[in-house]
Amino acid sequence: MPSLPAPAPRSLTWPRPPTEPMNASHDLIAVFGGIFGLLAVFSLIGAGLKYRVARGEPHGVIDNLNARIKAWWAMIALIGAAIWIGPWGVIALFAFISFQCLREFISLTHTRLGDHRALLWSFFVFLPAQYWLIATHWYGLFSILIPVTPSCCCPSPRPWGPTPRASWNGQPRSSGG
Amino acid sequence: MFVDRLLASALCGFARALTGVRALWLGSEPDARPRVYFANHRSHGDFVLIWASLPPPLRRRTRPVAGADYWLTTPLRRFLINRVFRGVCIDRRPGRSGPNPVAQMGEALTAGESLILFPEGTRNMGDGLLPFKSGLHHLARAHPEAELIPVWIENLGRVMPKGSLIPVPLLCTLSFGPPLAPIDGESRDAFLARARTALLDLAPPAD
Repeated sequence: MPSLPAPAPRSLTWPRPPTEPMNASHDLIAVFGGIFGLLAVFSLIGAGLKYRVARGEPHGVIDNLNARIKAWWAMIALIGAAIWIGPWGVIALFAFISFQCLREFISLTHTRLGDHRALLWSFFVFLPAQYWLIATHWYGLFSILIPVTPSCCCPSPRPWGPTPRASWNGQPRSSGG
Repeated sequence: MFVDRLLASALCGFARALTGVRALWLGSEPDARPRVYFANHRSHGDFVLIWASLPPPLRRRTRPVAGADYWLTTPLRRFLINRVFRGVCIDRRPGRSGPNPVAQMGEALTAGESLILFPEGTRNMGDGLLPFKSGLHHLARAHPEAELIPVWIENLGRVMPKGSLIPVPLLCTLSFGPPLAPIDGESRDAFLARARTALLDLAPPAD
């Protein structure tokens, strides 16, 4: 039975550059070459369907398919560019995706006026901080940052700083926290 | 002049990037004829967002109606409302002595421009809509040629509520409704109620 490699010594020195920068190896080139080749075939089929079946007219199903294929091009190009840049590129891409997801999630969620400051902290402090901790390999703090820090401070009516004056006028104060 | 327009485009661009604003034209289309866009009001960004959702040629011809008691008090606000937004500043205090607000708004319509009006009269701190002020009724009666378009602004009150300086980047949607039918001898209260219902109809169902 092969012995496992010894775990890398953990340290809390920071900021530490990400280890093992990724190179555009043969495997990656093969994977992305294959994906781009397939996408090119899909695009050709989509264009053919648009030309032969829909005859250039608007067609619900075919237009939907072509829009999806375009979106795949964009997604694969973004991921490809991020991997090509290296670990920082991938981290930046996922930080951006997290930001967009949080944005969409909160947009659909019911929030009150008094939540404004907590939302500011989530968007502009804790979300970037999480990814910065990942980038600098500060795993110890990363694993406890969200469960401990914001959940203690954000639900309070006065999370770090004066609440906007307006939220005291005519708005019921939350009873909790 | 150039700086004013550059600043206006920059503000629109910033508002679009911040809110990812989506304009839904439900029953009306962008048009150059004189119009009164009337909307719910929860944030200073409201008219910037309506502006940003209009095609650029219409933007310069669409002017917000703003409260003089707020916008004319500091040099920065005066510069923004007069030069950048080209607002129509009206005196909304009850015992005013200056020009008649309806006449001021009417001048812009007569000149072929459009207006953005918040008939609640102030920024609303809660959900829903406050009762409408009567200005919309007087304006509609004096200018039957102007189309009244209800615009529901969803979420902007959460992006930058009254009293806060830093915006939260939530996604906003603007719904432009069909033009309100003309008055034809309708009483003031009945007309205002109809306008209010037309605006509320554009709001998404409460959760």
